Amino acid sequence: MAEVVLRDVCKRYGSYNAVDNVNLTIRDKEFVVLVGPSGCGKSTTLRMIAGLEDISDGTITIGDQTVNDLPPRERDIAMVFQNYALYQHMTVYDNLAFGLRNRKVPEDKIKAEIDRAVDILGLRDLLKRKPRELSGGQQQRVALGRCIVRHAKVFLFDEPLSNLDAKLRAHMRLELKRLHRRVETTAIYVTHDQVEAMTLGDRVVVMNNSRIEQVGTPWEIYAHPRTRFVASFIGSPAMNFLDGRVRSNGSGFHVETPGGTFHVSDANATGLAGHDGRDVTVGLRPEHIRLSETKAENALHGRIELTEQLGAEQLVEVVAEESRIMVSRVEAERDLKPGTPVYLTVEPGQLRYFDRETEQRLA
Amino acid sequence: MPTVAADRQPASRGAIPATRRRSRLIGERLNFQIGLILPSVLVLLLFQVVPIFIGTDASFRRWTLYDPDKTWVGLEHYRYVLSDTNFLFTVLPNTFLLMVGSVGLSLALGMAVALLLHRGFAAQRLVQTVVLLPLMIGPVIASTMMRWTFNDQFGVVNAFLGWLGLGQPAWLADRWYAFGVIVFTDVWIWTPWFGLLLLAGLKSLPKEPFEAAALDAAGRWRTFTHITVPMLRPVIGVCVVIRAIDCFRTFDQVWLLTGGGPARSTEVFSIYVYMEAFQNLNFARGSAAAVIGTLIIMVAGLALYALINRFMDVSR
Repeated sequence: MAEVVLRDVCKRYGSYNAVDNVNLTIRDKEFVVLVGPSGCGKSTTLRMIAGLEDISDGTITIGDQTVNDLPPRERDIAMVFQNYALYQHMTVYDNLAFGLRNRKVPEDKIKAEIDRAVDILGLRDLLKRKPRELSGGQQQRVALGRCIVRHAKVFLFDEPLSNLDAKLRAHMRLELKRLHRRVETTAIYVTHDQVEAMTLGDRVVVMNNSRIEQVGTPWEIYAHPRTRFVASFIGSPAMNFLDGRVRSNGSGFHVETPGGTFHVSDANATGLAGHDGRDVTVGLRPEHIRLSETKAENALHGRIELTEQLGAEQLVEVVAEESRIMVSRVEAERDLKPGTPVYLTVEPGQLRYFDRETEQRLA
Repeated sequence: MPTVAADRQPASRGAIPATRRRSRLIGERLNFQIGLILPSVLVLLLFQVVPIFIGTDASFRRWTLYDPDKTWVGLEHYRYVLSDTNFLFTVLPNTFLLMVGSVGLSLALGMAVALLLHRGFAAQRLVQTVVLLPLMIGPVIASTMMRWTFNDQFGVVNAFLGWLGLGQPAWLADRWYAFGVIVFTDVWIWTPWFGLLLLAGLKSLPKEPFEAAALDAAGRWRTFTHITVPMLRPVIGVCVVIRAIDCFRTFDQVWLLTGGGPARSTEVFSIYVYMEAFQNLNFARGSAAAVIGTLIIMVAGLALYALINRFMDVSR
């Protein structure tokens, strides 16, 4: 059981900064997900915690011990790799036992630990098999088992579900969540899949370009993205962005965009104060947009370009002036033809404003 | 899908039916394939298969210069070879000792070289080139070099031992010293070969199991015995089997270093065959010995491969 603290952690390859000044505290028993596009530094960060990469600068502490110079085996951590990294020549039992045997744990204790782990993971019938005789999901469970038997202080996961098909991935996601509730260990999980990040994490760390963009609960990340990048990365379909300009009208603000004008809510107004006349980016989540075929106040006007029928809802792409706007949660049974003129409205409180230059949220 | 379309066309007058056309196509492809392998098949037949048949046939006859009839004598030569105490108690033990000693040592040293080169260090390129040098020298030259290195009067080794104030043995005049020099030479020649192939094997291994082992608290030695070696098993197996079979027919090193001497005490299988066939001019007896050797090495090779597969499957 341990807290993991990263202080000013950097990883440099020559002049390239793979991880740039990362500061992060992961509390005891917390499940934290690092999420971001490929090459954002999330896997490197994880591998530095594991001790598989040197730390160029900064310190990492696990529990109350600085681990910068400790080899992986002395850090008391367990890791699940993307391709599982099982020992192909060993049986499932020996795969689970290997780490304990290396630590000179007596065989009867090893057996007891493995018994407990196989009950949690449902691996009982597979103990004598070799990894190549197992399905992807089963191999994944063996890799998890390797962590459970160890009672490691911290569990690290490096994109563990990305080699599974969509259905199995959803299933294993639930199992992981259940497992964490049962085993209660500090867990750090790396993924590029925002759905995994949102569903699994107690807190989510969004990374981009070697830096942390935002740390917060899934809801905070979704509802109050601090940068345009976070807003665009989290949420599916992705947030729509329109270029606009702030205008003050005495009592409040509105933002003019080529497709129409948005009234700024009181909550957002504080962020826009002092930005009169400045260029901003307006963010609208597809699920917050209402689409109607009759003219409405404060609405964007456009034409339907495409519709995607998902059964439970429709996704509609609307072209307004030069912007393409995705609208989701449109009733599935509505008969919408491409080319139909439509009006899009959004509650002013649902809009998010970002500085065009710094891409920081104005709020 | 032009072929499907072509097949659907009605077989009009003068057109070839689709099935016949397809069989002609297959026939053409087959001819082409046969044409490609024919030259090598012919060479193999002429220089391998035919001599094997002639040799095997000879081993059942009195195939000597004074018997133009080449009288059929059945298993007489086999009986002779298999009851020859020199063959049974010197030649075969020598052959297998050389095989085990040379293959074992060059595998161990080759593995050490491969691990060293795999870790990477400052002068790695230079070391890599130096280590590979013996491979570029022909066995004949290497053996001649070694004969002079171990020469009891002018050799470097004895000069060095003399400088240290140690005894200066007549290396090639004593059975076990001479045998030691043969093994040493063979190991010297073949270590780079093992090193190179094992290094290629090491480089092709995925790195994740090693990282997992590092997190699993496996020390260097346990990682080597429990992860590296089992994962390299296919490479090790193939190397050992190829080299063991090759070692069984070692000729040049032994011939140049000791000529089988002193007093036939370092004679190995191929020297024995050569002596019988070309020194004693008893081709039939030589052939019989060669056939026996072939059978032995076939069985030994298969057994070795099975053994390696079983024993290398480390799981504890």
